[in-house]
Amino acid sequence: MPLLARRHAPARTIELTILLALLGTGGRVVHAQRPDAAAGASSLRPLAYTRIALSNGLIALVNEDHSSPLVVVDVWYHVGSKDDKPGRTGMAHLCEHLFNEGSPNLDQTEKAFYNSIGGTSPHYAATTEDITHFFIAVPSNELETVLWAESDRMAAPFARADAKQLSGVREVIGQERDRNVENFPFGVARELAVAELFPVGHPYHMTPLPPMADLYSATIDDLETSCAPYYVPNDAVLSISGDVNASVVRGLIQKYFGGIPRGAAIARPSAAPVSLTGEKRVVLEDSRANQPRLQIDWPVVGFSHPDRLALRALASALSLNRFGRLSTLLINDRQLATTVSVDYYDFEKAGVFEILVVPRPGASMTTIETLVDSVMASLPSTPLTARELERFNDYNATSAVSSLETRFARADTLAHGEIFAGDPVAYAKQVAAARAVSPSDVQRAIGRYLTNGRLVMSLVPAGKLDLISKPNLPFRNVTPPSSVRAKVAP
Amino acid sequence: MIASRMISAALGALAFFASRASSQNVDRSKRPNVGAPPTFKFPKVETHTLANGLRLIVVEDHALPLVSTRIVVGADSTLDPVGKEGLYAITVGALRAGTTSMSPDQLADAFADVGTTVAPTGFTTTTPAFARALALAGDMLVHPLFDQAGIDRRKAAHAATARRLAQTPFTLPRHLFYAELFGASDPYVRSLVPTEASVGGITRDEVLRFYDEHIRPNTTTVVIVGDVNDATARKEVTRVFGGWRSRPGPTSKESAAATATRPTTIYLCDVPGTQAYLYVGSAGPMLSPDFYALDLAAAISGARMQQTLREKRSFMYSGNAGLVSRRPSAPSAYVGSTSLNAAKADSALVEWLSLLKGLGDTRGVTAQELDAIRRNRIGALPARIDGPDSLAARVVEMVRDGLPLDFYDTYAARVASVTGAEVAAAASKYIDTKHLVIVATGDRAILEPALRAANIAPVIVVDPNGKPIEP
Repeated sequence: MPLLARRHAPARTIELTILLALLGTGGRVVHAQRPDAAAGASSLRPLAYTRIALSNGLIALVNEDHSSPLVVVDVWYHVGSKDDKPGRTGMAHLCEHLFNEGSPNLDQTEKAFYNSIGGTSPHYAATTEDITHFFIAVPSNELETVLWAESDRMAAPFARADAKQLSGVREVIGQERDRNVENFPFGVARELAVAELFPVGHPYHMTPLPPMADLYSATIDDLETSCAPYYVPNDAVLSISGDVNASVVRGLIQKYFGGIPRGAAIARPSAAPVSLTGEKRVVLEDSRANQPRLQIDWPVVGFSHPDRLALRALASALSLNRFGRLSTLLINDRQLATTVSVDYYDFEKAGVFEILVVPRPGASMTTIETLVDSVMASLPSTPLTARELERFNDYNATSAVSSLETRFARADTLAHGEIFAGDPVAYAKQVAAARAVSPSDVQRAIGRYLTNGRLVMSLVPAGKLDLISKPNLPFRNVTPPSSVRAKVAP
Repeated sequence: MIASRMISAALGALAFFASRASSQNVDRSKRPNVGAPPTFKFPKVETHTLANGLRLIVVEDHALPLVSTRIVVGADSTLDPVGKEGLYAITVGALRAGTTSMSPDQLADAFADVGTTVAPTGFTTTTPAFARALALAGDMLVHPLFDQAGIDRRKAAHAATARRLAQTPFTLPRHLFYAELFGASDPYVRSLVPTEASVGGITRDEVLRFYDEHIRPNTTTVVIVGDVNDATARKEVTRVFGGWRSRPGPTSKESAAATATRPTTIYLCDVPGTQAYLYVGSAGPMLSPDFYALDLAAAISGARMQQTLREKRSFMYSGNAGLVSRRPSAPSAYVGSTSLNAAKADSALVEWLSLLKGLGDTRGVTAQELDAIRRNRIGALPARIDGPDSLAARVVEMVRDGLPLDFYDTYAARVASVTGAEVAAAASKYIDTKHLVIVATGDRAILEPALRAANIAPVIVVDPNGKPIEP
C-alpha cells in the first residue's frame, strides 16, 4: 500500500558493524567490543538464516528467534513499477491490490482473514519501484495457516479477479492517489522529479502510484500479461522471521509450495546509466502549500554499485546533526533554513541523490541555492575528514543493530539482500567496505555524479513565483492542473 | 472484516488461471488444523523510586544488544497557557540546545560517539553505549543551558512545524472535530494547533518558568527496556538523576470536561479539493468497567468500516476507528476518520452510521465477529512488543494513560471473557448514534447539497475556526 520511494531505509541497506547474533542460538547475543561507544566492533556476526531453494525456483529464508511467540511471514515478488510497460503504468501496484482479494480457497481478503487469526501488520502489502511484498505477523502456531493462504494465492493468482472487482480496486487506488499525492501539498514533487531525471522509457521514469489514466484503460485481460507472469515461485522470496523451526518450515514449504509450477523466465528491464546533459530548472506551484522549498536532485547509481557507500558517506557529511556541512551553514550559522535533508534513494538499478531545504520565512531561495553550490564546490579542496567518516560509520553501527529490532525488519532485510544482491546478508558484506570508504572515494563519486547535470526544483505556494530560486535563469513551470485547481490557501 | 464475501464471478475467474493449479497435489480446500495459540506473557516490570521521588521502571529484555530508554516528564502540551501554545514543546526542545557544561557542538560530538542522537526524553542505543547516553540525556534534562540563541532556534523550528501542520489536509478536520467534542478552549484542543503567532510570542523567561514549575524528579518516570539488568539500571539512574533536587507543587491541570452531549450534527467546512475528510465520534471514558467491551466494540466498528467503505463500496483507501486516550480523568473519545471521494461522502456517512447503529441495537455483533476480534486483539500482542522500542512504548502508554503496570498481564483474559451482549451494550452506551459529532471538510459545493439531501443530521457550515457561517 505505501508507495514511497525507498530512502536508504536502515533496515534494508545499512551496513552492519555490530551485528545481531541472537538468532538460531537461543537468543544469545554478542556485544560490541568497544566499551565506551557503539562503533568500532568487528567481532559480530550477521543475521543467522537458513536458505531453502525449491526446484520450482522459490527461495525461502528462515531466521529463527524463539524469544517471543510470534512469526513474521513476508513474501516478496520481484516486480515493481520499473516493470510497468508504456501505456500500462501503475499495473504493478494494481496487481498488489488485486492479489489481496482472496484466493480459490479463501473467500475474503487476506487482510481480513489474517486479522481474524490474530495477525497484524503495519501495511499488509506494499509496492515499490522494484518489488511488491505482502507481510504479516501472526502467533507462531498459525505459521502453517499463513503458508496455506500464501500458497493458495500463489498457485492461482488473481483467481477471483473479475471486471467488477477490478473496477472497485481501481476506485480505491484512485482514493489512495488522491490522499497521498494529489490532495497533499507538493505531493506530486516525487513523480515530477523522476520524470525529469530519467528519460521516457527508462524503468524509473514513473513512480508506483502514477496518474490514473492508464489504469482506467486496464482490463481484466491485462492481468494475464502484466501481473500473472511475476506471481510465480521463481520470482518470489518467502522470508520468515520468528518463533519457528527451520526444519519444520522446510517441510511445510515443500508441502504447500513445492507443487506450484515454475513460471516462464522473466525478462528484467535494463536501466542504462543516466546523466543529464545540463541543469534542468523547474517550478512546481501548489495552492495547498504555505511555505516554499528547494529541492536539488541528481541521477546516481543504485543498490549494488560500489560507489553507493561513498554517496552515503557524503550525505552524512552534508547533513548529520550540527556537523553536517549544509545543515550547520544554513540552519545554525546563516539561519536561513529550518530543515536541511540530504537523502540517497537507492533503487535496485539506479538512484537519486537529493538535497532538500525548507527556508525560514523571508529567506531567499536564491541565496540558499548559492550557498548550497558553494559548499558543493568546496568539496574538492576540503575533502571529507577522518572525523566526518568516523561519525558516519558510528551512526551506521548503531542503527545497524537498532534497525533490526523487529521481525518485520529482519525478514525484509534478508529478502532485500536475496533479491537485490543474491545474498540475504549482503548488508553484512558491506561492513568492511563502509569502513574502508576514503575521502578520495567520495571525491571520485562527487566528480562522477554530482555534476551540473542536475534538476533544481523550486516548490512554491501557488502564485508565489517571486519566491523561486534564481528567477532570471530559464525554467519550466511543471505544475499540473490538480495542484492549482483549488483556491489559493490563505 | 470478518464475514466472508461472496464474489459472483469467482468460478468463472478461477478458470482464467486454472492451468497453473492443475498440476498440484496438495489439498488446500481445508484450512490446516493448527495447535493452540501460545500464551502471551508481558515481561516482568520492576519499579523503583529514588529518594528524590523519580520513578524508575525497568523491563529486562536480553534478546538484542539494545537498550531503549524513555524519560516521561510530568508535563505535556496541555499545560501550555492560553496564547502560548507550543511552550511545552519548545521547553523540551530547548533542553537539547546545550547544558551548563556542554555546548551544542560538544553534545553533537558525544552523540556521534554513542552512535545515535540522544534526546532529553530518551534514546535507543547499543548496550555498551547505554550508560554514556543516559548521562547525556540526564545532563540535558537536569542542567539545561537555556540560552537565548538555543531557544530562538527551537522557536524557528516549531514555527516551521506549525506552518507545515497548517497545510496538512487532516489538521483542520481533526481540530474542528475535537473542538466540537471538548470545546475550543480545552487545553488538549488548543495543543493540537500551535500557531506561528503563539510560538513566536514565547519568551525565554516563560521557558525558564515552565521548566521550573513542571520539570522535576518527583513527577518524572524513567523507563528502561532492553539489555540491561535491573541493578545496573538502578545504579546508572541513581548516578545520573540522584542529585536532582525534588520540588513540591502542583504539576498538572486537568482538561475541562466534555461539553454536554448534543444531538448528532454535521459540521461542514469548505476546503478545496476532490477528497473529503470525515471525522465521526463521541466523548467517552478511557477507563471504566466497560473498557474491554468498548475496546472491542470500537475495534469491530473499524473492521466493519474497512469491510463496508473499502471492500464493498470502494469509497475510501484507508480509515481508522478506535478509542483515543487522553490523560487520566480527562475525557477520552471514540473516533473514526477517513478521507474519501467527496462525491461519495453522503453515501459513506449513511453506511457508516448504519454500521455503528447496528453495533448497539438488536443486530449486535455476530459470534464470528466477536471471535475474530478477540483473536486479533490477543494474537497481536506479541507483535506489539516486538523489540525494546515497542516494549518501551507500551510501558510509556501505561504511565501516561494511568493504567496499572499489570495491564497486559490480565488483558488477554479480560478480552477473552467479554460477551457479545456486553459489546453491544458498550456500543449502545458510548457510541450513541443519536449524539455524535460529525465533521466533514471538503468542497462545500459538492458536500453541502448532498449531505442536506441525505438527511443524516442537521448540517452547520462553519469557518476554519469552527464559527458557524450564516446561510
